[in-house]
Amino acid sequence: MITQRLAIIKVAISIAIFIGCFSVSIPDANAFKIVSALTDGCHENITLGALGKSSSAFNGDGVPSVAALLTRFTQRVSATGIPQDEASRGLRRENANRYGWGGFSEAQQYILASFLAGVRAPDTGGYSIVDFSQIRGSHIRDDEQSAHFLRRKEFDGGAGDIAVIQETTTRLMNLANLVLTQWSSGGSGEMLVRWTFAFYGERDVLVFGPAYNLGLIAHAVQDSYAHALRDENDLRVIAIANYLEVILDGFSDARDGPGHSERLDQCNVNDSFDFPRINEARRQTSRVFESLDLQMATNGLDTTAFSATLATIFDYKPGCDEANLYCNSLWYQKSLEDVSKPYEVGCGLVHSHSDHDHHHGEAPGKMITSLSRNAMIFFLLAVLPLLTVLGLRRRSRF
Amino acid sequence: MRLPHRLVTIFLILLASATIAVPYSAYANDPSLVKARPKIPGDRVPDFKIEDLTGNTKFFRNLTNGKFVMVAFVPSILTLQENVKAYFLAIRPFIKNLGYEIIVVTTAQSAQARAQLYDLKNPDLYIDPDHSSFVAMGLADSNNDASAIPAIFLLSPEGKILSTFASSDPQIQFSGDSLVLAARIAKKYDPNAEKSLFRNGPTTAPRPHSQPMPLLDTLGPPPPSPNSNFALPDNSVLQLLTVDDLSHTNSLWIQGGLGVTAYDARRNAWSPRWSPGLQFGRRFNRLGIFLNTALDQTFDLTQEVKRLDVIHIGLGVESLAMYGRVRSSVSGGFAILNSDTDIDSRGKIGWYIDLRPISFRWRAAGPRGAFELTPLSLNISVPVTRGIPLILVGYMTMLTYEFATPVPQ
Repeated sequence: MITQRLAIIKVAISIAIFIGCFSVSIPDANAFKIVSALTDGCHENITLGALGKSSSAFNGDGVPSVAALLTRFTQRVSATGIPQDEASRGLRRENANRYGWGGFSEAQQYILASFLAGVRAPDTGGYSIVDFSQIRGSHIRDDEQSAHFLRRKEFDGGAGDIAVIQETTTRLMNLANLVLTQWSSGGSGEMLVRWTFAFYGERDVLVFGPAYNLGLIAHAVQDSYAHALRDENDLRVIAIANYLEVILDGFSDARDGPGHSERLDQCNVNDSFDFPRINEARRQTSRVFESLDLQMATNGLDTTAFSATLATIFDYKPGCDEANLYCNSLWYQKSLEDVSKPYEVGCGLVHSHSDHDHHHGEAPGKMITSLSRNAMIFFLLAVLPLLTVLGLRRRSRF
Repeated sequence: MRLPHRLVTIFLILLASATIAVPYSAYANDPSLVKARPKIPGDRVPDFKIEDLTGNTKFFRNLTNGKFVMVAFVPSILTLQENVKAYFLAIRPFIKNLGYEIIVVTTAQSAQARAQLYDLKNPDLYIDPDHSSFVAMGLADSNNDASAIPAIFLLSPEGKILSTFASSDPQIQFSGDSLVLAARIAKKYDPNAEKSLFRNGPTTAPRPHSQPMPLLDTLGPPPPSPNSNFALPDNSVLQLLTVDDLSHTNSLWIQGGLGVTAYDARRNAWSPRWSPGLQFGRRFNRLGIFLNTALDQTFDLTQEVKRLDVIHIGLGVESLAMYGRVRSSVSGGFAILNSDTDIDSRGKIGWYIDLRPISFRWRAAGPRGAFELTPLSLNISVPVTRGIPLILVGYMTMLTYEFATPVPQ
């Protein structure tokens, strides 16, 4: 009887640990928020606003050439065909329901869904936002920090700011070249990317490549208004935030730059500090789209205009650091309201990036690892009590 | 000379009677021998007066009516013995645990004897100063303490004797193990079944009072020996005998319960899920079959909160062990999609499996009820099997309540 009670207690403790793990492991987003059960869709709404397709306050002044871009994309996919596989249709249907695109054509839905898949991808890798091990695994990759306009570990001080700008610019230039190449090829531009459906999990879906990659570009541009401190007068970059060393500990404000701030990730359009910041992020996203659309109008491959646009968006003002409170920037004061904290690691839910990769070809291996872990949990919580009971039964025979 | 045939017959009868009657009358005239016969199973307990330790007179029926009772009659000659006290101390918690009231009746008058029995833990001790209870129960011939024998009876709530433990033979001891086992078996006493048994003519029916006792019965047992009867039982055996069996064997049962989990094992993502359900089953011995119905609701947090409703209808099998304290079951059947998703419309039908490897059960809300906790079950639900399959895999923790009703034989 005592052994049986002990077994129940063991199981109860296991369940408590299980629940406890959940409670301490809810992740923070590390950029402008994306849509989740707990957060608004900053990136999605800013991007739709930049395309003039947001139904909310994120819609700013229209940019004529962006409207032309959408028309151009729509005409192309109408001519080359829209993917009709079940997953791709699901992607369009899901986003159409979420953003009220009922009145849009299927081609428009396809284009807009592709933009949103792209702008979400740097934060999720196509996984569910509540697949914590994957999400955190991707967030702590050193070589992916520039996708969020953030410092690598080794990017220190003012030189680190410049390094981030250079690395991000290089990344976005590559993406811009890819967009123009995809477009000028004249094909359907289809790309296979990962998308997570509610309840179904991860699936491969077909998206319109130029729109998806523009979404990736938009993400970094928008994050430069969440992960950098800017001069409140001319909005030039004065310092770029550090995420990795903040969450992995060992962070030094003087050396590593300002810590990543959850406060600057917010996008409350009713907030007097947030609104102009969001509006600028939306406006610059439109400008980036516009700079590339000028080339697409002629099937050109020249990224000069795009590069010039990035240069103005990432324009750097040196001389601001912790010693002078980042030139007494209001942005710095705001960022201190909610600086990110180191991970509270528990229960094996957090993994280093070496545990993960994001190539589809590795999925079976990942699945086996996942099954092994699940089997271990099942064994500990179900089979061990069974063995305990069987042992008790054996002892009680007479 | 030839004797008439009739005379020969009469002579033989007289000779036979004398052969039996003469030694018997000598034996019966010995005042040291008890000629009474203890009440036996099936007899109704007569009413008599006894006194509690404060001297208040009680009617036995009033004390025992409507309860299962173990009543022990201890002649005063035995009350000072340590083994008697130890015997009752040993069996008392187990008999109580089986739901019996305990009454000990003694004729002991001495303060020392009372103190000895009063030292029993929470004694239900009563005094019978004139031996009338012993006589009424057939344990003494008269108001003579020397002729009284010890006995223990198990009584039904209707006042019928279910078991009798009585002997004046010192070689025949009151086995505590047997007493506890009998108490456990007698607890399943069903007066309606007993009536039916008598209507159909029992093979071992108690002898009605109206029927004359066989001659040798009236001889009665020899008087008690001071060192007899109360043998200390084995405590570990008593513990096994009194394990409360929750198996609800040979019954129809219904279970209502709730399963919850916060994690989808297939998607590796936090996904709250709960499943209220009902099971209807037929249990035979330790095995049973059942119908399983459940509403399975899953919440997804990938983007905004979404809810998925799936209905499970299926059949299952179960197995019980450890006196019904452990149950294992598995069920499977149809999983019906009852809400639209981004990909599928409601109405699609797939399958599910619900495996509950170990469920712990304990008594709750009466002899037919039991709570059941399943620390971890494996639930796989696939309401959509074609195209992009919809697969939910969760390790659920479940709490259910079972009510069982016996199946008439």
